[in-house]
Amino acid sequence: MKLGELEKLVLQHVWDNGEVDAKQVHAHFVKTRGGTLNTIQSTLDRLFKKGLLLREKQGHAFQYREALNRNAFIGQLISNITSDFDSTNENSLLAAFSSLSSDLDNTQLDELERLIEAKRATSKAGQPK
Amino acid sequence: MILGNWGLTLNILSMFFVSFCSTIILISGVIPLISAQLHRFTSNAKRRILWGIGMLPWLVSLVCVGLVLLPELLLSNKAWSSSFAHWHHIYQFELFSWHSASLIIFCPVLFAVYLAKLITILKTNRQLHQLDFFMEKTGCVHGLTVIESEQRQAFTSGLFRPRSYITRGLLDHLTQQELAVVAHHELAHARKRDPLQKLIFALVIAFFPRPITKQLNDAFSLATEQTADESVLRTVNDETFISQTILNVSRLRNQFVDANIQPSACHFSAHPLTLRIRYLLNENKGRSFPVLLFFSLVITLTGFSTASIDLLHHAFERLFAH
Repeated sequence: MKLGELEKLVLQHVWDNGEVDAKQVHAHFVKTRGGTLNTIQSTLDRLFKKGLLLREKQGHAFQYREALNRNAFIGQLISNITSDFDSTNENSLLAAFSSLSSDLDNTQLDELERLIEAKRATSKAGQPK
Repeated sequence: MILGNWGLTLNILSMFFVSFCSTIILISGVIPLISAQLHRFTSNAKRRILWGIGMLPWLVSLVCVGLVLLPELLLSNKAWSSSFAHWHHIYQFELFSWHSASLIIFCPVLFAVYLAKLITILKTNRQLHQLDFFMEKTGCVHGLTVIESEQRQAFTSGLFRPRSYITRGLLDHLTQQELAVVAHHELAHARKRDPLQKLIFALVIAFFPRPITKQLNDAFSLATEQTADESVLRTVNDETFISQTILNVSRLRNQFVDANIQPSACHFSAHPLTLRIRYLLNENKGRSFPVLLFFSLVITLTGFSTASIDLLHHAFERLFAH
């Protein structure tokens, strides 16, 4: 998911402060970044459309809150990044300790465990007493 | 018709294309044989062999262009060289010719392939920047940046300044010794700049037929993992413990991903995890890089490819108009 610089800051702000409206977000950012209320409103709207915020109309204004908490969002990001490391993906640009998908099931892992055990036993037998 | 230096440049590109295609076809024929023998070599030798295969079409095509071009440009008596390969019109490039048609095909394909790779790089980089922006800075353990997430992953990413990450979900389930194995493995990837190497390798082999590209990328990916495992072995010096850790991490990940594990795309015996563990447990790690064989292959392919420039040139001109 592509997020702009202001979108990332606003999302971070919602995670830190809970439920907010556009005026509150604008009041926070006007001191550090400047910008208009309109910009903040459209940023919140974009985050809502991307499924990252939920909103509810209260009076004339929308109240925004997180649709996904920070950890779940980071988990999603990690999944996206590491799903790139897949034996079927030729565009892999990272190296992972163990691949994310197309992996072995538990029976096959047990088979590997037996292989390691056998090697361990052979090594022990070969050691001087 | 384009004359002069522009004509020369376009002729060089056209020669390069013909030679490149013929070398790709020739190498594609022997890659299944080479792949079947790769397990006989050490992980470092595997990497060198794969780089060699990837670089061959580029190297051979450059040598071919040189062999055809230099006598034309430098020698006054070209009789001996032109009997082997020659180009009739080195400073003339006919726009409505098969040379032109070959370039019209080659250039957009080259552009499209590299554009697709560039988009992948940008996408991965954007995701990493987002991850860096949002993750809580809880510090490093054994040189790995900790990500506060329930996911169970450890990975290295970043092209020019690679960084290694571990998630809290994995970290909390590892013993200190297991964590040291994971850290050594990931830091070995970072030291060797494996993400960047994987990208350059993918770019170099992008023009092979798709099944061959996949086969080569998989083999390179496995070789990078095996090199990192071997690097851990030099520090930890217990192949069964390293293998056990790889297995334990896979089990932890399976527990998290749970029942919806996709069935493996490849057979158990050919699965990267099986091959990594078998390689670690095997006392004989294999042979070193076959220098002599490689240079024989380069010379043979250069000969074939240079001959094919002349052969194809004349065949085309006999079958079709120039």
